[in-house]
Amino acid sequence: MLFENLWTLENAAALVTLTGTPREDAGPPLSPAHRHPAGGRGLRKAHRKGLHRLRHGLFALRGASQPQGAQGIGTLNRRDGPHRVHPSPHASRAAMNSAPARDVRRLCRAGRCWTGEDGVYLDGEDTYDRQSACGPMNVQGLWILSEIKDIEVIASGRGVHIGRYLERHYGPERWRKMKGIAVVQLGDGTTCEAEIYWYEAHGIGRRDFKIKRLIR
Amino acid sequence: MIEYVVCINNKDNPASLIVGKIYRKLPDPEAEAHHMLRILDEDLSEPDGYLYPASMFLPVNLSDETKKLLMAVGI
Repeated sequence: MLFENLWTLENAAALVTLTGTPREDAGPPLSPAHRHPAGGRGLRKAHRKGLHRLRHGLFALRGASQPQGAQGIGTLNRRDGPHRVHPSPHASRAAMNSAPARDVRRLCRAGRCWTGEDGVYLDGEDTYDRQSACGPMNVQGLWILSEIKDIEVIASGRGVHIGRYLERHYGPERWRKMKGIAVVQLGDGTTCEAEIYWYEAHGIGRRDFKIKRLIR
Repeated sequence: MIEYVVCINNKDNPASLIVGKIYRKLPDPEAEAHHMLRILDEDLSEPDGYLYPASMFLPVNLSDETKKLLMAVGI
């Protein structure tokens, strides 16, 4: 009875999204016959698996801070699919936009990307590094045409002046204020090198890019 | 002559700007030639402000008394 209750709890964690609605593609719940035959060890493993799902569910909550029009990730069972899917280290947004829709949906379910107004976005802190290696990227309205160089940390933690706004919009994390130099395209189409500032946090990525000064 | 603008679009910088809030515009002729404005945004640790597209703001006319009050609170 205890096993069945715990097993039901784990299945519920796997099948229910953060919003509390069942996933449409999750399929029927697993039967108790699929329980690990090793008894207690399997139970502990299942418990760890449940915690893993809950933990990734919390990560998926950050999807609420994605750009307007973006669809949330909203799934807890990252490991339950037929494949454990992760984009390759060389994945780019351009490649994702040309990928089959089925693969994109699979990655969205795995919490590795999301779709928005401008196509597919990759998740993770190194998203923009991957994009910069693949050509121009539009980062929150700012066109960055080159890799960002001379990156420096200006402030971190409580030293970030707008930390409360960052936490409100993107989530509570240890935010860092960064700066670097890159070639950008301005609103009138002019291309020039500029000193750009942004804020970044582990697991969320780089946000709120803005130009400090034009260099040339 | 201190000028103020009101933010009408913070889609790209939701943590640095608040829609409907009045910000001080700092003089930067070079940036304005590229349709950019130098704005003293929420990050008051940078007294030089940042460059934003002019399309994100509208100019507002404030009385001298209002400007004095805003300057007194650091805006």
